[in-house]
Amino acid sequence: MSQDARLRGRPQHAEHVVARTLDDETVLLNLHTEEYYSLDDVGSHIWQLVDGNRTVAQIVDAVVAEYAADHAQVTTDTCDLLDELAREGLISWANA
Amino acid sequence: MSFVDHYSLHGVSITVRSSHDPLRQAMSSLLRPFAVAPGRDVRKRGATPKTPALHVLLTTDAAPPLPTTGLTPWLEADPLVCLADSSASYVVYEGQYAAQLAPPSGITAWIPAALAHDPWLIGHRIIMPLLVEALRQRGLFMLHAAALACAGRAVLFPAPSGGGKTTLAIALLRAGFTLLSDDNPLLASRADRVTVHAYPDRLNVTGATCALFPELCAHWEASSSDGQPTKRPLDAAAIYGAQITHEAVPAAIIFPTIGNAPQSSVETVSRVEALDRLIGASGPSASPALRQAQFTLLTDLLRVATPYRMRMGRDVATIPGTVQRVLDGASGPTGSGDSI
Repeated sequence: MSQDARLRGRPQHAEHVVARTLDDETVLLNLHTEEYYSLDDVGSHIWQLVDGNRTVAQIVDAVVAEYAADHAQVTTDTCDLLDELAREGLISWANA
Repeated sequence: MSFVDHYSLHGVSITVRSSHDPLRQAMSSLLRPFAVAPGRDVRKRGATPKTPALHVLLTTDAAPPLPTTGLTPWLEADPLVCLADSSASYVVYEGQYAAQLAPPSGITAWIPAALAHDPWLIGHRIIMPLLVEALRQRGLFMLHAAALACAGRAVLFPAPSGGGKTTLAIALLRAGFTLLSDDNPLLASRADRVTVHAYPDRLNVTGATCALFPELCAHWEASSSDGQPTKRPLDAAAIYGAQITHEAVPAAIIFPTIGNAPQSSVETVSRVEALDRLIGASGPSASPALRQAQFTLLTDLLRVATPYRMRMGRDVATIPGTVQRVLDGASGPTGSGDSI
């Protein structure tokens, strides 16, 4: 998939995932696999931005604005995180 | 002839039916603290019970055939396997189908004649997983932990067997803490707050624990194992005049490990690490809905109770003071990260 196509994707939370906030982290339980995961504060922020409507590009912009970080680095990190969340069945792609 | 025993466990009415004394004794070994005399658990006429009753039927009849399709294992602890399909949970022990949990009948157990003489094994190995699941269905989530209270505030000590739970419970009871449970308190979320509920069975004490508390030795020598492999049940109320706290607000969670240093040490742990350990101490469930409820309850618990780890030393007499300082410093969702 090209980078442009990835940035147009609209990730959404999987229905079988329960998310809870603990301190600055988010813990996720995959009810299908019974695996659970934790996201750090930046990952938690990205998780909260995932709503099935925002594109990856919009999520990246929001993270850059929140953390005043380098756009290219945030793009890479966000795409990597979303890819990993998708591999673990924690998100799906609304326009897939 | 059939005989019925009645129990009332934090709002859950439990009836146990069996014509075999050893089988009813097996349930008594699990539910002894909650026994009620017949006729004592009377509800007002016309009242609707808030929580569905649980019915337990124990028999030595042959079990019906186990369903052959759609079964998923949810607990495997050789020689015990728990399976579930969309309608029920099933216990297979040593390759034989032995019990099921299915609404609305509750728990039905078909105990092989070769096991019928062993109440502890029947109760704690065959019935216990289904009882725990049945209680989850009724909003009560068992935790493998010791739980004690001071002034209505509970401290939980989640640990595996042999992890120091009973030693800590005894150390604190000697100092005037009250007992919720030395092995399996119940967590509930009621009125939007997490509460800890008592399971105040007798203390199951090993010889090694007994050696730390000289006053226990005579009681230990005089007791029988009650079928347990390595422990003997002792009555905390008789020995220490221990008071039972039936419900408390969780204030601290301390994960103990046994060490041999002169002094015990305590430090905070992250809530995410604590959640990992609490999930391990809660056991698996057959139902995704109950796993979700359990996960939510444990994260809610960690929002109100500060988690710590304790390296237990040889100073059992000073541990109560350490725990009291933890309770005094446990201030809810923002742990300090400091050592205590």
